[in-house]
Amino acid sequence: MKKRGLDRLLIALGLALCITGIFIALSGENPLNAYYQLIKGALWGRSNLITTLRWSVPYLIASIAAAVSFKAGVFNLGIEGCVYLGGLTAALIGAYFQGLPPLIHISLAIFGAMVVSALWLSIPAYLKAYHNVNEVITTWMFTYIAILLCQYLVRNIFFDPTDIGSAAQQVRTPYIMEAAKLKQLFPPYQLNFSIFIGITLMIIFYIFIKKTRSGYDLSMLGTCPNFAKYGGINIEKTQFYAILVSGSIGGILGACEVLGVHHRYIHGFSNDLATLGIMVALMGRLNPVSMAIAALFMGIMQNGARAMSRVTNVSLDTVLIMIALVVILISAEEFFEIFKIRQRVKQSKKGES
Amino acid sequence: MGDVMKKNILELKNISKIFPHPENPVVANNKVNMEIREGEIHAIIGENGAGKSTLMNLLYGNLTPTEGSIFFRGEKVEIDNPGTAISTGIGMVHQHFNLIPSFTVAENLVFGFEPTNKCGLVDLKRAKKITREISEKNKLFIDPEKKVKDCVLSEKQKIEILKILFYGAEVLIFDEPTAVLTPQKTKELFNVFFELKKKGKTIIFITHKLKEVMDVADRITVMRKGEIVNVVGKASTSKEELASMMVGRDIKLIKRKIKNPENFGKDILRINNLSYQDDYNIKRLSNVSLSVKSGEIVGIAGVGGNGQKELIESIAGLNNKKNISGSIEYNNIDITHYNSTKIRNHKIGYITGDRFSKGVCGSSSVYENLIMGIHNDDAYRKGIFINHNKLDELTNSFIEDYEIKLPSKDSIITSLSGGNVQKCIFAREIFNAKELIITEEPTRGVDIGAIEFIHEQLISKSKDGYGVLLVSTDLDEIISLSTKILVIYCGRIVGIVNPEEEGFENKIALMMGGVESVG
Repeated sequence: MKKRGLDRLLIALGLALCITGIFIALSGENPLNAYYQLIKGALWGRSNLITTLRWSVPYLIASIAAAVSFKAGVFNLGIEGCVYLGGLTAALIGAYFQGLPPLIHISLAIFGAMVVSALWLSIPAYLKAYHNVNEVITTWMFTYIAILLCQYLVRNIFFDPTDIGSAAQQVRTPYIMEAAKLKQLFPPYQLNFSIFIGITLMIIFYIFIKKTRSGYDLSMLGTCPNFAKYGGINIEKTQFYAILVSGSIGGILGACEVLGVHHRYIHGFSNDLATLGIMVALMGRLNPVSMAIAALFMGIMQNGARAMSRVTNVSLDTVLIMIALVVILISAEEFFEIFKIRQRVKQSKKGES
Repeated sequence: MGDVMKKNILELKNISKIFPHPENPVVANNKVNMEIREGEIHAIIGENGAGKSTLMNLLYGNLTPTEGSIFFRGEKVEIDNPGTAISTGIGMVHQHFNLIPSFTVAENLVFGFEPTNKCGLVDLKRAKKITREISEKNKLFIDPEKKVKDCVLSEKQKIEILKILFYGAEVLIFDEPTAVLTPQKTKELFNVFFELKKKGKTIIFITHKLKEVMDVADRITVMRKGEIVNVVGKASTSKEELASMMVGRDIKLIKRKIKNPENFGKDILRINNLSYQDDYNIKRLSNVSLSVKSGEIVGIAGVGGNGQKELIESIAGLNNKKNISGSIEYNNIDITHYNSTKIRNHKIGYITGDRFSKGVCGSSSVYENLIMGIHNDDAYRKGIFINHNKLDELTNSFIEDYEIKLPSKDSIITSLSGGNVQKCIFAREIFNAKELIITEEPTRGVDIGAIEFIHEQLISKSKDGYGVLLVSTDLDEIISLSTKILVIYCGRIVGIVNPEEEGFENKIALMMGGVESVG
């Protein structure tokens, strides 16, 4: 089963590369050169490799956030909102608490981000679990509200005082304390301690799904809801907590970006991290190890694309096309199943007559 | 008399339908020969598994025969899909209506064959006119502009009938048409049958309600186990005779596998005046009362669709609890409004024959399927963690004790045969059960060896003091295993029979056909 999945993934990837190659050729560039620049920009040389890792980490965390809820069959689109809320919370705790040792300061900031995110999504979670209100709409709407709420709060209340009077006023908070910063691993590059947080989360996710009772309940609910109900799993509770946990991991992601990279909340700091995280989760089939590989792939794409667009005439969006194609083609493998079934039915009909 | 000269509109010659399967091929229809005369109302009766629905699906093109041929007005026809059936002149009104709720009656009626105006757009005015004409012509009155979602069930059925008349059906097939109708609406439907008959249409309908048959049918075909048992004219038969033909005269020959003990123990399950209305406001259970004592195997007999599923699901906490009235008690605890989680906490074993819709998870491994429910037991958990080591041992013992044949515990459960999947469900649920086992269709689609095994297990559990509630449409199973048999018909318990009593078999047949009610 696993090997077959890998084959299919590689075929999907190959097809996506070919089709995107056509787009690249249409814009007047040589696809092979473009891909070469992409790989080179992502993996060749210390600085490129470190930057690629820096980008893989948030995608990994985002994918775990998405996977927790998707595995339960719940489509939580509210993670992006939690990234912002979590980032803001961490930025405020980071900036306004003084004299705390780093471990406590950082833990407090991350914890605060988790709590705020979970509280935020508790409303759509309750509506979905106990009143069957479609979560796709509610969580997506809450994301927009969250992002705009953060913008409002930062512009009007939590702005950086040194910004006033400057020519271009940006929507951002003051810098966080030194103690709250997640250390960079290879200064001056942005890859920081959050990679260990990401790996830890991945391990916890793996253990949760494979070894805990709630993990079993969650997987069964997502795979076979009727069987889960018949077997006595509490559907409402499981769905409710799936959304909350998913959101709080999104909060962790926001906190990591703020504490590790930007050292303050800058509005717009998350460029669709959560949405791409969902794609990574789907590419990785909601499986911790495959998601890590998919996250690395996404990191390579994002970093390499920037290099590619600097050196060639190919735009950054081309990479988005390719990623979208990969996701579509991987989902398309389900269509292959339908073809196969149709063939079988035809064969058996022929056999009958 | 007059109808001796009537032609046959439909003839089935030597029709067989075999569903292939590596171990257990199913012979749904076995060399069936049938003649339907033009302009008659023809009833087909039989228990579950008799092959009635399969036969009708062959006529309607949902299935194609393995061998044999169909003749319409003397000419051979190949009906390989419903489209061909419709163009031949055969229409079917299904139990589950194929209507679009947000469309009007007229829009549903012409769907797929819409009249168009000069510009090529759908001509709704003409659609409404057509609807009015057909409905008046056949005395099936309905407002063409009413939205289907605002229509009640009997109206929806009317629309389905009008649809197939619109397609030009000469033969109308109905599959259990009165299952969702009140007695009043049933009368109205039968008036519709008489009107259609006057217009020269032929009606075939499947039912198990013998009184209806005697009210409405001209001739009756009785089927059993894929074959035609008899074809009789209404005038020359009675409900009682139909009942015994439907159920078969050889009940006496069914071997009993259990001997009723002298005494039974305490009440483990007690149901008082349980009524249940489903989400469409159809009453599925009416004042059902029963009890299951320690040591008893209480069998619920009846043709499928009479409330069995709703009864079991109410006990298991799978129904919409708002629509329940009455009470269900387990060891004197009121569990009427418990959800499935709470019920499972009481360790009630629930063996289902709905293997892949709820009994197992088709895309999971055998191991993952076997541990459902057990993973929360104190003995098999370590706090929030599952004790996989102990569960490994336990599941190995399941496989050994129940002789489950499988490639490995980690293989996906769909790689096992139906019988082995059922054994998995069985092993798990028996382990989960503390005192009460409820089961529906425990041996459906299972090979004979596994059936014997499962039956032995149920009997041995009852001897150990368990109470067993056995719901099954397989009458052989009910008769061979039960210490007491209740017959369910239209959501009511219409009688209680002791299978060790003389003459019980006659009573059962009559009750299943709705002919008799005892107490």
